[in-house]
Amino acid sequence: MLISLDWLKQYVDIKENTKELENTLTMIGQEVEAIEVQGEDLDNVVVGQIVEYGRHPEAEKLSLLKVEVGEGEPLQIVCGAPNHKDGDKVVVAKLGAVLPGEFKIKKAKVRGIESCGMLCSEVELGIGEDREGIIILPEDAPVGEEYRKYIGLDDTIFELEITPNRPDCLSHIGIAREVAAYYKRKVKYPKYEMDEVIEPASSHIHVNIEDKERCKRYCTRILKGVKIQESPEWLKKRLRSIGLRPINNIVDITNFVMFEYNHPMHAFDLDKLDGSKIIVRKAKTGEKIVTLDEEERDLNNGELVIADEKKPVAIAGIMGGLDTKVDEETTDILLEVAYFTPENIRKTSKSLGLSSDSSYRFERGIDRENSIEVIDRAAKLMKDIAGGEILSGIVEKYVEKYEKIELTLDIDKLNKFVGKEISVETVGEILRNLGLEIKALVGKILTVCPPSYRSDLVRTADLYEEVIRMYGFENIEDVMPEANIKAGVKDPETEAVDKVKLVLKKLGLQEVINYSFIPSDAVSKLKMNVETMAIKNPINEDLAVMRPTLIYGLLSNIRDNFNRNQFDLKLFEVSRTFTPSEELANEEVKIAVAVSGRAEKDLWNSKPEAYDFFDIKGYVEGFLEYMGINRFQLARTNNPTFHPGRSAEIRMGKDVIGSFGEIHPDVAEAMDIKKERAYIAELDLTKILKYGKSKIKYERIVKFPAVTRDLAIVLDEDILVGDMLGDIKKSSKIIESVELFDVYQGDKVESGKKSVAINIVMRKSNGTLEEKEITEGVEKILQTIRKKYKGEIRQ
Amino acid sequence: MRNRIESLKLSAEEAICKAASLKELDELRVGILGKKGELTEIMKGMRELSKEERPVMGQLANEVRDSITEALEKKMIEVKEKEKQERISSENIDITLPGRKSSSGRYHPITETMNMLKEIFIEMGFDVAEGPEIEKTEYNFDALNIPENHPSRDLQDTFYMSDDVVLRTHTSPVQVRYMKDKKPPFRMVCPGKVYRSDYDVSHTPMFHQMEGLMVGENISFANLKAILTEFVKKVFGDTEVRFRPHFFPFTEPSAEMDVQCVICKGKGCRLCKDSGWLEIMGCGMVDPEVLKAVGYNHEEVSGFAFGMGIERVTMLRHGIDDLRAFFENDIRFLKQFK
Repeated sequence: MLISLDWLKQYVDIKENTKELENTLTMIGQEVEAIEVQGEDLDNVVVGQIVEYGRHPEAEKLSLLKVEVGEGEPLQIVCGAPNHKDGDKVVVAKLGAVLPGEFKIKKAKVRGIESCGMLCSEVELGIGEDREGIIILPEDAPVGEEYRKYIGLDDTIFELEITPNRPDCLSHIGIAREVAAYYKRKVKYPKYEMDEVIEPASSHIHVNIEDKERCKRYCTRILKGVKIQESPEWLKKRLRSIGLRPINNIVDITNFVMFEYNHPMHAFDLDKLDGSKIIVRKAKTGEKIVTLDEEERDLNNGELVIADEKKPVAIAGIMGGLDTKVDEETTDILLEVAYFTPENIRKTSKSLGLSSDSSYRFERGIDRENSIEVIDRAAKLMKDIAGGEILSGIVEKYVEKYEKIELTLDIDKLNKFVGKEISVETVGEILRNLGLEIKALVGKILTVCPPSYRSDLVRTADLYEEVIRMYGFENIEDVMPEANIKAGVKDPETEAVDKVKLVLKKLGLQEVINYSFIPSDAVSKLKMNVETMAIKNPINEDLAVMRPTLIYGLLSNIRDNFNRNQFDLKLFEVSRTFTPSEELANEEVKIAVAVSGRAEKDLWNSKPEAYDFFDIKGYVEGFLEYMGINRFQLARTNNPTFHPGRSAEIRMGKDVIGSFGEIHPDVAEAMDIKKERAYIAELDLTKILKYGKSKIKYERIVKFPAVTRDLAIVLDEDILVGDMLGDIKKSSKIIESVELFDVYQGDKVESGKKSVAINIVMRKSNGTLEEKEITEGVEKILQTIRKKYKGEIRQ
Repeated sequence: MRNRIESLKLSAEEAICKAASLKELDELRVGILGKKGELTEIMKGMRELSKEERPVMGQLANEVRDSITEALEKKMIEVKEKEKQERISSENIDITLPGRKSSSGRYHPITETMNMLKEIFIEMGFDVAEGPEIEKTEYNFDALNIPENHPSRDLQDTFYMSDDVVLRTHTSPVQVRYMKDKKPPFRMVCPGKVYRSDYDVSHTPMFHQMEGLMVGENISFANLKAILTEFVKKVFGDTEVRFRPHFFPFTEPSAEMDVQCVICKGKGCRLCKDSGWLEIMGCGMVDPEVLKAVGYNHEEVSGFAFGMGIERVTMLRHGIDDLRAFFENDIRFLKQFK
C-alpha cells in the first residue's frame, strides 16, 4: 500500500521528519517496506529552451541544438526525437544527472559531434509512459528551474505492508488515525457542505436488494449535467503519487475517495441503465457481462451482480461493466457506495480469477457505517470538479445494520499477560486515542466499544494487542520465565536422522538437500515401478510429484556437477520420501549415498582411478558398522534401477534394508550421466534402526597366539566370493577372521574362472591351538570350498 | 699360545677401532668369537696344554673374549649413533610441498544451522518434535485460526494434494499435534521442511523452518521477549534486537523480531535496505482460538509461539546472497561450509 506523505498531512499534523515517521509507523505495526523521495533521481534535470535548431551534418534523423538552461552559455545537444522545434521549452538532463535505471549523463560524441546533455521523454525520467517524443513544456515554463520543482515532484511516498487484519489502514485516513493515536493528535476529516438541487434522486432510481445475505447496504446518489474531462492537476498528482493512472475526472474521484476512506465505489452512466431500478441479485445461469477490462465473463456460479431491469451492469464489489461505463459523452451519473460481505467477494474474485483494488478491500472487510459520508464526499467533489448538480437525497437500502460490540478488559489479567504493571489510566488513554469508546470502569474492569471501522477488534485478546503495540514493545522489559529447566529431548526420528547424518559426514561424504518434488516422468526414468503422489497445483512439470526415492535427486546432482566440470562426487542425502497411504501419506526416511567420478588430481595422486562398486560398498559397510550392523547378507538384486551384474541388496532376516551398486546403463542414459559411471546406495532408516545395535559391545582382546593360513583358490567366475567367505567363517569355531586379499582373472587362469587369495586367522580364546585342532579346522575350510563352491586349491 | 692370544687381542682391537659399519663389526664378531672364529680356533689347542697351564690359559682366553666383546659393543653403540645422525641429516625434505589431504565430509549449510539451533533450544529446555509433511488442512489451517475464505489463507501460497490435504506451509501443524498429545507446561521446537508455491529470486517452493512453542500458567509477553532475545544472542552474539507489531492468524499480539544488521551494524546498507535491522523471526502470544482448538482453557494457560526460516538465518550467518544456491547442490558452493 502506497501512502503519500503530502496527502496524509491533509488529515493529521505531522512535524516529524521522514526517518522518525518511518520508525513510528514500523513500531506500531504498519511496517515501512520502502520510502521513495520523489524527484531524488532528477538532480541536474532542469527546464531549458531550444535557442538554435539545426540538422546533424552526418545524420538526417538527428537534430543539432543549442539549448539555454539559464547558465549563460547554451549547451550543445544532439537529439534524436522527432517532436521539437526552435523555441520549444524542454526538459534537459545536464551532465552529471543520473536518471532512473542508473542512466548517467556524460559528455558524448554522437556521430562525431559533441553532445553535452540530453532532452528527456517521460519514460526516461520515470514519470510517465510516453516514449514517442521528448516532453515539450508550456511556453511559460521558467528556463533554468529544477524540473522536479516545476512539476511538483516533491512528495515522499511510503510503501507500507498492511496486514490482513487491518483493512482500515488501506487508506490515507486509516493511516492518519494510527499516526494520530500514537502522537495523541486529532484526525482532521474532510469538510464539505452538500449542495443539492430540489429534484429528488428517488424519482429516477429505486434500489432493490434481492440477495440480503451478500449485500448488507447499498447507497446511491445521482448527479446530472456533469462534464467529463481530465482531472485537475492536484487530483492527478494525488493518484500518480500512489501509482494510479488518471482516467477522467469522475473515475479519478471514485479512486481518490477509495484511497482516502478505504471505501470502494462505482460510477455508472445513468443514461445507459435500462429502467429505473438497481437490483442487487444473484446472476442467472448463462448470463454474461463484459467488464471494464473488456473481457467477457460467463456468470455460471450465481455471482452477486448489480443489475438494471434487463442485464447485469457490474460484478458486485469487483468490477463494473463496460456497457455502463462513464465516458466522454456521459452527462448523468449514478454513484454507488455499498457493503458486500467479504467471503462472497473473495469466492467470486477467486472463481473468476479477477481482482481489483475494490475486491481487495471488500474481501478484507470495510466499514459500512461510513457509506453516507463517503458518497457525499464523492458527490460534492464531482460537482466541484465536473460541474452539474447533485439531485437531492440518497436512495439506499440498509438491510443489516452494523451492531456495536462491547468488550471488557480486566487490568490485572492484562498485566499478567503482558508481564508488566500498566496503569488503568494509561490503558484507557491508549484505547480512547485509538477511537474506542470507554463505556465504564468498574474496579479494574474496563468496558469499551470499538469504532465501526475496527472490525478486527472482537475479543479481549485483540484489545491486549492494541494496548501493547501503542504502549511500545520496547517499553516492556524482558522477564525470564520461572521454571526448572532440564535439557530438552529429541524426537526419536530427529535423534536417528541426526546420528545418520553425522556418521555419513564422518565417512567423508558431502550432504546435499534436494526438493521433495520430482518430475512426473522421473520414476520411469529410474525404471522404478512405484506409485507416486501428485501435487494438484504444481509450480511446473519438473516439480510435480512427491519423491518416493532420493535417487533421482542425487543422480541429478551428479549430472549437474559434471556439467560444471566437477568430477569428484561423494554425496549423501537423508530425507523423507513419500508414497500413498490410506491416511495422508507414508513418509519414510531414506538414506542415500552417491559416488561418481574420481578423486581430484594432486601431487601425490596424479592418476586417480575412477570410483567403482567397491567404493560405494565400502561406504555402505562403513555406515552399517557405525549403525551397529556388522553382519548382513548380500544378494544380487533385481531392482531395475541398478546394473544387474553390479548391484546388491542388503538382507537382514526377512527384510531388505537397502540396495546399492552401479546404476543401470539405461538409467544413466535417461538421466544424461555420461562422463563417468554412477554408484548409488539407498537404505531404509526404520529397518536399520530395527536391526542396528545401538550400544557398543566390548570384547576382551584374546592373548593366546593365532595361527594364520593363506589359501589360493580357483573358482567359477560367477561364484559370489562374499558368500563363500561367510561360509568359511562359519565352518569352525576357531576361525577368527577370513579376509580376501586378491582376486585375479586373466592369462594365468582358465577362462571362465577366477583366482582368489584369502587369509585365514585361527585362534582359541582359552588356550593355544594344538596341531590337531589346526588340521581339523583347515580340513573343514577345504571341504566347504570344494563341496559348496567347487573350488580348487592351488598350491 | 699366550702369544697368539695376545696378538689376537691386539689385532682385534685395532680392527674394531677401524670398523665403520655395523656390518663390519658383525663380521668381526663372527670372525673372532664365532664357532669357527679365530679365538675359538686357538682355544682348540687347549687340549695339548699341560694340566697346570690349562686354567691359566682358560682364564686369559676368557678375559680376552670379554674385552673383545666389550670393545665390540662399545663400538657398535658408537657406530649406531653415527649412522643415526647421518640418516637424520640425509633425510631433509621440502616441508612446503602440499600435504596428502584426508578429506572429511560436510553437512549441507542448512543442516549445520539447524543443528546449531536445535542444540541451543535443547539447552534451554525445549523438546524437539516431528510431524507429517503431507498434512490435513484442518491442522495446517483451521486449528491455527486460518479459516477457509479468509484472506489470511492468502498469506501462504499452498500446494494441494487434495481438497483437504496439503503440503504443510509451515511447521505449525506439528505444534497442533503436540498440544493435542501433551498437557502444559512444556517447551518445544519443531524443525523441518515446509512448502509454498512461490518461486522467484527470494522464494523457493521448499524451504526449512524451525518453529517453537512454550505454554504454561502465567506465560507473559515479557517472557517471550526474554527467551527469544537470549536465543538470538546465542546465535548472533551480543547484538541489538527489537520487536515490532505484526500479524499472524495464530498469535495475538503478533510481532516480528529484528536483529541489528550483521553487515553494517545498524548504520544502514543494501542488505538491510538502509533500515539497520534484519528481520529474523515471527512470534507472538498464542491466540486464544488456537488454545481452544486443542482443548486448552485459555483462561488458565497462556503461551508464546515463534518461527523462523532456516535459509534466512543461514544466509545471515554466512553472508550468502542467493537463496536458490541452497538447492542447486553445486559442489563448489557446498564445499565452502566446513
